[in-house]
Amino acid sequence: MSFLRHISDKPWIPDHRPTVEIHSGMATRAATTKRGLVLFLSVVTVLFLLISIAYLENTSLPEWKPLREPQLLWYNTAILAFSSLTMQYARMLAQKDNAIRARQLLVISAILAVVFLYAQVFAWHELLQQRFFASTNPAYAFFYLMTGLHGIHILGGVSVLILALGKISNDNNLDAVADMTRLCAIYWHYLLLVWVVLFALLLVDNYMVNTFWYGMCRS
Amino acid sequence: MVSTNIDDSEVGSHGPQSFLTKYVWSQDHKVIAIQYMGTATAIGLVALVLSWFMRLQIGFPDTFDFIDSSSYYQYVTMHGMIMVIYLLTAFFLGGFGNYLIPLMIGARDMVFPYLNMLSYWFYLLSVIILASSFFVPGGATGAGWTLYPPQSILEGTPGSDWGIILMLVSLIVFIIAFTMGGLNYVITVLQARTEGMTMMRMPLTIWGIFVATIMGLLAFPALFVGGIMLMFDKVLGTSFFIPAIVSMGESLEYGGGSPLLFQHLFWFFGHPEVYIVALPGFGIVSDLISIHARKNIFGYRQMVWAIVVIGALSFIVWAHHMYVSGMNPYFGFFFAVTTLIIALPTAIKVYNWVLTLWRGNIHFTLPMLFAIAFIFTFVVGGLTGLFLGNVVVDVPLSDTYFVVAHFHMVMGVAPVLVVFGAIYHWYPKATGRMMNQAMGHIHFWVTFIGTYAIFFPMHFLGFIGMPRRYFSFEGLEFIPESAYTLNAAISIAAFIVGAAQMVFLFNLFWSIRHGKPANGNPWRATSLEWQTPQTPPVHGNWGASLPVVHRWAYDYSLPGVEADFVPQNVPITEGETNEQ
Repeated sequence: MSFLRHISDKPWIPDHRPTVEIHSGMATRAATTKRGLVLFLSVVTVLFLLISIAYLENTSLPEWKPLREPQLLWYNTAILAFSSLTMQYARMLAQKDNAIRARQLLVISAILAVVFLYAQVFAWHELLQQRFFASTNPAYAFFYLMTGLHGIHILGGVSVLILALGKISNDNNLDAVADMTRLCAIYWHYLLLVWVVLFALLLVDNYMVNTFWYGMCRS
Repeated sequence: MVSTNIDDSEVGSHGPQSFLTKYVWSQDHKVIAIQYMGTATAIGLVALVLSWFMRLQIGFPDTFDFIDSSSYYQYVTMHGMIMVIYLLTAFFLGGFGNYLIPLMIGARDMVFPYLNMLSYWFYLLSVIILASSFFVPGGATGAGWTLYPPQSILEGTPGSDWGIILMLVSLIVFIIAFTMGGLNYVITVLQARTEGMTMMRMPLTIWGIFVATIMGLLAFPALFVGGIMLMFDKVLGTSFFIPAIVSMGESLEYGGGSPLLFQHLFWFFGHPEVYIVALPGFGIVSDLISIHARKNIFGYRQMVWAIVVIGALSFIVWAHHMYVSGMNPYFGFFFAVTTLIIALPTAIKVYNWVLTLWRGNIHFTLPMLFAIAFIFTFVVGGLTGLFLGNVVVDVPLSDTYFVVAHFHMVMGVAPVLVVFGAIYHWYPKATGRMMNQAMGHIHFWVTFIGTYAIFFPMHFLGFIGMPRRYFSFEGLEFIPESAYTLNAAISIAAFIVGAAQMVFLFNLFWSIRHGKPANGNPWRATSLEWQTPQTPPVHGNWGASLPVVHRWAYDYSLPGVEADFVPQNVPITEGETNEQ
């Protein structure tokens, strides 16, 4: 609990230790960007958490009609998981200073993520063709909202990855490649985690509505 | 906290630049701060004028033709939204946060300067979108600043065609801007502090801004989600928030949504928002009081803890804005308890401010006057908050002017007084000149006394049951004639206070050229921003090498030391102890 230790300091008492020992100054660039990423992902977590709560709250309404999720989503989940795996492999390679292979795997991960996005759009298309619109009922509205926001999240990740790949394409600075791969891997695993949770939430209302959750909220 | 020293030259290029990159597309935190402040002031003036229009109608009903019930609601809505989000949040975090964080912690700039620049331009975009909503067909939205559905998006509310969409788009852009800025402020505080600057050696200003920014990052997503869902309801015809409903005699196609859900999302953002505005104010006031009373802040650790505790608690009180929404009474009890608990850390802060003043060497400079005025105003507004925090008191008072008086005192006037005090305080650092004293005093006394003339009588209006939000009080027999006289008086006070702000604005520009030249540290303050090699600080802030911090920010009137202040970057002398 370093935060607690920090805030129990007594700064008004003169400290005769050298100041470097007390706080050595600015952190490294890599540590800073990593912290920035983690903070950003916590903001995104709050966003998805609130949507999930809103979703669960709505499923408890008596008017709620669950939707039949397209089968395609299962395959999409596999693609995203595979993308996360290749990303993890890239990270391991980058740490072993194999920058060329790491870059190749980064490209593969990006392509897999784009394939996932395309397949998600295809799932939307399938639903829209059956004339299930966002306005049909709240279950569809939430489906489009949750998959859409997750899609934007992926799109952001892929664009940053492409920009970063451009930056390090001719770079022989192994540290830079390793740092970047590490950040991307965090982002990618997070994307997968969010998707798995959202997907589970989308499925769960088929079984729970009018039973457990309904009972809890309406008692 | 793992951190290592890095070569200073790595920090980035801080060399000379062209006019355009220096003042327009600037990545310098000081320029971005002033851009933020300028934009916020400009849109804030619009909101001030809107409040005049509202007061014209309430004080002198049916005298002015250009105000009808629709435009009145548009003024109310836009005034509220602009003041809370586009003025106060942007000014405290985008303005003071940007200007002060790197200077006070001894950094050359924010850690992500490019993102910081984008943050400002997104903010400007959001302000432009917001302002443009006055000019679209149907005008700006008149849904009230809380934008409650269903009424905010249905026919019959002013601006329900275009105004509401532009408002939501503007809010979403603002939140993106805030997130980019907020990531910067938090990570800069965590990672870019100079050697020796521990968290507990930071001035309280930085603590306030730091915690407020974290709160903003966690609270704004709620508004973001609510805003997107509401926009879908409006544009795509989804039913997130709209139940099966009959509007203007027609049964609409909506169905299955929950209007209460929006209120929860809105206030999950809305209540922390109060403290996002208040906490930087708390921090700045602590520093102003300590500096201008030449005394260390009383109970520094308590002050930090109180800021952190208030920040945490403010996330579990949101439903006290919803006592009249018909929610479960047990929820009401829970939220009343958490609300009243917040009074404890807040009271600690007030006591510590007063105890810092106690037997201090008080200089009644302009920043000090504003700081003391803040304490008064905040206590008045805070005490009425204790009334309204209780369900049984809130229910009858909720829709009256008592609430208007409460929130204007506590989160309208009080933070604005801090903004003024802070501007008078840091102006010499930003420009190298002092602001004019005479004009400053006129501004202070008219504003301080004038705001009491405006908002204090509103408590009484609330007690006799005068409803808020009403365009006209015609036909309400129980309102005595004297209430109308009082309203006219309040309106006149509002115009005078508004005029005093013009004096302030004039002073702001006049003093750039004609103010008394100030040296680098006119208030003889200890914190790092006053120890820069140049005033105003140049790009990169610190010249050849970063300052090294040896002590906390409050070494005023140290026993056994001749000077009455010791800057943070002065080494501890041998045998220096602290036996005050």
